[in-house]
Amino acid sequence: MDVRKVASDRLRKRLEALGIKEDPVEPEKELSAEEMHERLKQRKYLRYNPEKGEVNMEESLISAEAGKALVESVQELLSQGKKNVTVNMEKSELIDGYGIGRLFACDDQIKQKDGTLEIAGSQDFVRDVIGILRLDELFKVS
Amino acid sequence: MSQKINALIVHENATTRVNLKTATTSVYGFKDVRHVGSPHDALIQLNKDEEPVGAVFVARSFGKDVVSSFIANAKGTTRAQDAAFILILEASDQDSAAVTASLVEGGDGFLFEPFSVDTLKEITELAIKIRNKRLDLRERAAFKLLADDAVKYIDKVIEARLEGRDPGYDMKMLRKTEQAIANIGAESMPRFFSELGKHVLGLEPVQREVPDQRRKVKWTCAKSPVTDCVSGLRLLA
Repeated sequence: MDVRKVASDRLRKRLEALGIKEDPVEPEKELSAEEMHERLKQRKYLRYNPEKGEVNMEESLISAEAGKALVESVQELLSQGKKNVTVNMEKSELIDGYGIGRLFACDDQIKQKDGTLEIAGSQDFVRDVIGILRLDELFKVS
Repeated sequence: MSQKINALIVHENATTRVNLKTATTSVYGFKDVRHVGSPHDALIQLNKDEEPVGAVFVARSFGKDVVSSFIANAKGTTRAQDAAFILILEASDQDSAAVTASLVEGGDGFLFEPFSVDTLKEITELAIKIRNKRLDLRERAAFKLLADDAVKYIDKVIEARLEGRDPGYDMKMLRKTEQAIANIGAESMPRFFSELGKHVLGLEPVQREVPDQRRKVKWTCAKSPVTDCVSGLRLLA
């Protein structure tokens, strides 16, 4: 028995009994710059500081969501006129091939605007990966 | 033209060899030019642990099969793997069929007797272009493999860590690739980053089961069926 389905059916029946109709699901609309800013601020994968041109990762850079959030944040910073972006990886314990790819994607976008990507505060494993792949010769690492 | 190349002349006629060596001295671009009398002696030279050779001049008069086999073998040596192979044709060979045939035999260019300085200049430039192109292709292929391997082992180490396994073997392999990457010269690093970028930008995220730390319950041995039942109920609660 699917508990969630039962609960949702019960809730729907109660709402119907009270004469409340469920809101239809709205199609995803294009966000304004402000809305996007707010959305990025609230992401659980990173914190985003447009004033400093900083993206603070809150999780390991190994999932699709964290990678997407990072690329979107950097895009947003660039669209706000920032040239140099710092990705703070203090709280990222791990980075995999996909995560490294997202850093390359960010670097490509930043270089198109003649800026530089800085990786700051990396933990042991991330620092090790940067050292193995000699990424410190490609990005600024502090 | 700032680059200089070493050359090897392979010709059965000693006078022709000396004439060509003398001609190369008038052209800026040749460093050390040596000459031998047969493809066999040339292969001995090319298998020595010395500086790479940028151009190998070989007489077509050795015969089609001998020349083809020599070029194939020479390309397998470390010294001549990126070299340009120039076939020395006799004055009587100045027809399109002979020239075409010489290129089909594996040559990158051809040279007629008597040797002119202008032609040698062109050949030097051609040899440097060929060497750079081959070096680029060879390096790119090697770097692609290296980048693929490094990323593969990084991912495997992460998987092992997330699953609570010892990443011993994968870590050892990762250290091996690290050593290889550390040996890449500064001038070749842009090519390595280009291959690494191509690889990682095309990767899809890996779906991994990340263990939830809160679910890690340390089981202790139950003393009796009653305490076992109680601890079980506590866990369920």
